[in-house]
Amino acid sequence: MARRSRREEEYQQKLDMTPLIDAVFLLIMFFILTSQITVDVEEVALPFGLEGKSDEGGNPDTVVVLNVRLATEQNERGDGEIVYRGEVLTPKTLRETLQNEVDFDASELGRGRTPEVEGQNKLSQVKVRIRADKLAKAEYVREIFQACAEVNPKIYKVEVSVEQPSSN
Amino acid sequence: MRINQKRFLKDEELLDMTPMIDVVFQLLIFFLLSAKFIALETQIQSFLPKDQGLAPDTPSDPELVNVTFELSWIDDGPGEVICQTFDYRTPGSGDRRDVYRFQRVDGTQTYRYGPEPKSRDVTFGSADHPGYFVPDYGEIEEYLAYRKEIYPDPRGKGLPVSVNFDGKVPWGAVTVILDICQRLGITNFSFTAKELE
Repeated sequence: MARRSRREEEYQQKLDMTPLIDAVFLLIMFFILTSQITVDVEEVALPFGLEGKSDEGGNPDTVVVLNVRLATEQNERGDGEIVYRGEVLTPKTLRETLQNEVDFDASELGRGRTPEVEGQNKLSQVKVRIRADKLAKAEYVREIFQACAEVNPKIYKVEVSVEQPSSN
Repeated sequence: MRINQKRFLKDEELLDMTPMIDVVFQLLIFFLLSAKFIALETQIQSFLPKDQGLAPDTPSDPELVNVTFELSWIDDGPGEVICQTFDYRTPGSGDRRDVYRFQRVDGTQTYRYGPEPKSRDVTFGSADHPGYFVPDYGEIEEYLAYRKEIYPDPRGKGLPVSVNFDGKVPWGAVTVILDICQRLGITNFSFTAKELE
């Protein structure tokens, strides 16, 4: 039984872990920084679209994201619910939410952006993003359109989220 | 005696890294799995009319011939989305027809959507909702392109297109028309308010 030489033993003990740990920590930092912690995005199957433009990366506060997902307890095909920051909205609370956003946008304590004036109409600068499930009934989206028109000042900037179909 | 001392010193130097690496790998795997790789999500801009919530059903100026699409839902088993247009002009000849219903395609099948080279294979159904018939969007795109070409554009705003949809139509069937309008550069687009039911 040959004994391992001392030199060999020392070499084995001196396996330097520092670069490995450095690399692993870098990876961890990368994933922490790149994974988005988003509260206002629901998981929905977005409709497909080839012409959508990606987010310009502006101030995310100025966009109100309304999700239309399929109802959790589905009664009928395509039944949906409007969700804002994880909360299911009724037609009444939808209007209240949008009104609050519009007021906050115009208030000095909020974003302080004055509404645009066009003729007799006052138009809010708030933008609404609709992330609706492709299988949800379109009436939920219409409900959002109507609510946008009913708040004062009106919301006219609306964008619709679509998903780029994978290439094949 | 000397040798023993040396060995003792070496033992102290050996800081066991195994648990730490274990933890770090666990964290790494957690972040790898929880990082949501959002499929290419993009936005289509669509401004609502500034003067009212939804455009009226009839154009305010009858001389401005707009293109109106009416999407309705027929609930018969798999379901069907139908698309009609009024005051139809046959592409090419320009022959008029009061109402025209676009051809339908099977939404359960893979459907080639969009002009080359951008075109993609898409399906309209899902595992939970096994498909339905949808209008031939290729035909709609061709028709819109033709109407845009022959539109005189008296106000410089481009061809007005309005879409009137039944509340039961799946949202995915409505957005395709919006997508087509974007592609053709039609910005004078509106959703109308008439209830179909």
